[in-house]
Amino acid sequence: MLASPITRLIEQRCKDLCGRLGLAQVYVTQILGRRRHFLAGYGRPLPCKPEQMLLSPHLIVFWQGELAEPAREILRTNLQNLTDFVEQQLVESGQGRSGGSAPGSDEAMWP
Amino acid sequence: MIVSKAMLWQRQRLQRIREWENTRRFPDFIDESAISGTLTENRRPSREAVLDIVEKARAHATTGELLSPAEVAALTHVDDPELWESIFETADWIKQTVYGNRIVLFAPLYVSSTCVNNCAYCGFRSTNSAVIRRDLTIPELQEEVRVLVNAGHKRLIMVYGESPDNDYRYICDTVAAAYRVKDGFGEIRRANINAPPLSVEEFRAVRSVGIGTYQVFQETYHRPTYRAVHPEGTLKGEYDWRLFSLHRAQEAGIDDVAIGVLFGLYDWRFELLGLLHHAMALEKEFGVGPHTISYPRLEPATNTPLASRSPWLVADEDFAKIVAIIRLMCPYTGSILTAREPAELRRKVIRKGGVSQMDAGSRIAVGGYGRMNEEHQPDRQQFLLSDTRSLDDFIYDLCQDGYLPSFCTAGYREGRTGANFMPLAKHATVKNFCIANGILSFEEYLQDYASPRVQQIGRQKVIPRYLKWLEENIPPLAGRVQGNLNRVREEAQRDLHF
Repeated sequence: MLASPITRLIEQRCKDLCGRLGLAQVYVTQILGRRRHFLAGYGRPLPCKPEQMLLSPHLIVFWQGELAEPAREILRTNLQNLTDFVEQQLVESGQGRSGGSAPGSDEAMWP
Repeated sequence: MIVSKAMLWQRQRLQRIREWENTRRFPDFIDESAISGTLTENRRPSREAVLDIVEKARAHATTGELLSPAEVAALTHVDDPELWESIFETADWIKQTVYGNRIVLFAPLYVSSTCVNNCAYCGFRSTNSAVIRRDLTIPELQEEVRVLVNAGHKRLIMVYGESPDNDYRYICDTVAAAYRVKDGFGEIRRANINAPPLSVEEFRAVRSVGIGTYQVFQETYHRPTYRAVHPEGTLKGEYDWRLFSLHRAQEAGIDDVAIGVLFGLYDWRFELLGLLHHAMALEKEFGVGPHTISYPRLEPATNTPLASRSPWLVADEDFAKIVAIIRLMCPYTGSILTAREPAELRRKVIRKGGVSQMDAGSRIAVGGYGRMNEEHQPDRQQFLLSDTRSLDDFIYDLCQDGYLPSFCTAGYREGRTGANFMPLAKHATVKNFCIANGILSFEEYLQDYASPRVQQIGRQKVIPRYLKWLEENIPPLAGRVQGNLNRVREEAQRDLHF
């Protein structure tokens, strides 16, 4: 789980990008095995497959609406500093781990 | 040696559970006297009042609002058959409005049955020597998964007992192993979990392997009954630990959670209000209600007398009412009707209750799919199954009744989880994805696994019917689905989804 100030920052950034790029929806997800786990975003989906782009080892941005190649770079760069921060948080909290056996003693599981 | 290891593990865990309960930060949401009072106050609703509630429930289909406890209590006391017809018709209408006329298919996979608990109604209870208990090894598990994917399944509910040998590490390892199985086009695309309550950190570990939904059923919300059937000193004896397990799951970032009751332990009217209060508590605390609600009924189990002689066993007629009320009270939730119930009853309740998910071709013994020719293996099962139709026969019946059988698992792979999924279900737009993905996943089944008679009815009736629905309702999407259908049929592409 992300702290709510970070969630709000992502929401705000996604809202700005929807307005700037004319998108119906932009949202950031965490890669957890096959799951693309919703973290935060803005807008309402259209009845079509969302496009997606890998932002960092554990984060993917999805969007709905037409986006030409140069505009994708705008999307990426506008999310980059936030993405770097979230990625670092996920790794530090152990949430960057995915798809395998969970380490840890019983004690560590009951802080 | 094994016994002492289990006892030590249970003792340490119980101590930690009680520490958590003593410092819990969430407010209690099951007030038994308030629930009983609500039921009493609303035991004679007028015809006009019931019709108003039904109308309100219809309006909620596109707002996602829950009915109030008083309204649900009133519905449980309706005795006019004509009003019940109106409630059943509304349940079906709400389901069609939110999800469309599709039924999502899944298979239960019993992974482990060793359990330190001693629940009076359960064939897997620790003192039941008439049932053989075991945990699958990873190769055994993958063999079971292979049988399922070769029947056409894409979605599992993996079921676990509670013991030191099947703790959260075992859950992580087995889920990851299930996802690794590939056999031709066969694979599991979504693994949901039904497992004991965990600590926040344990939930966090399980989250990391990419599960679908995490289910914990309270069994009964009525504390005295809970105490009577779950002995004190066992892990499951801790009511609050279980009641708030999905709160802890949410704290750990698992945002698709599922609730349920084992109907037959206590008064079904009380239990329905318990489910409603649980949904309300999750919404209030996290803004995300239950992804699904399950309503298993107590079934006979080997050497388990309570399962057959409980004074609260639910009659078929009342069971249909329960399912319909759940649909009216919580319009956005997935509604799961399992093969515990007999085929004929299931066929009726799908429509009357607004059911959205079902299992088929199920085996509930640990290792049961390896002995597919044995419908019942009572010395290895938690209870006895009633509907033993094969997946293909079940799908044929669905097709005959006009449903779209769906193997869709797209949502959680496209980031439509938790708070991103809820608005779609609450505003009844999720059906656009459901129908499109249902068509494509059903076509995969027709290509790869279906019998000739299912291929025939699927291609001649079902897929054309739902393509027509798309053409009439969302023309641009219909075109894209048709394009993808062609790629599935002509280019052998798979897993095309929206």
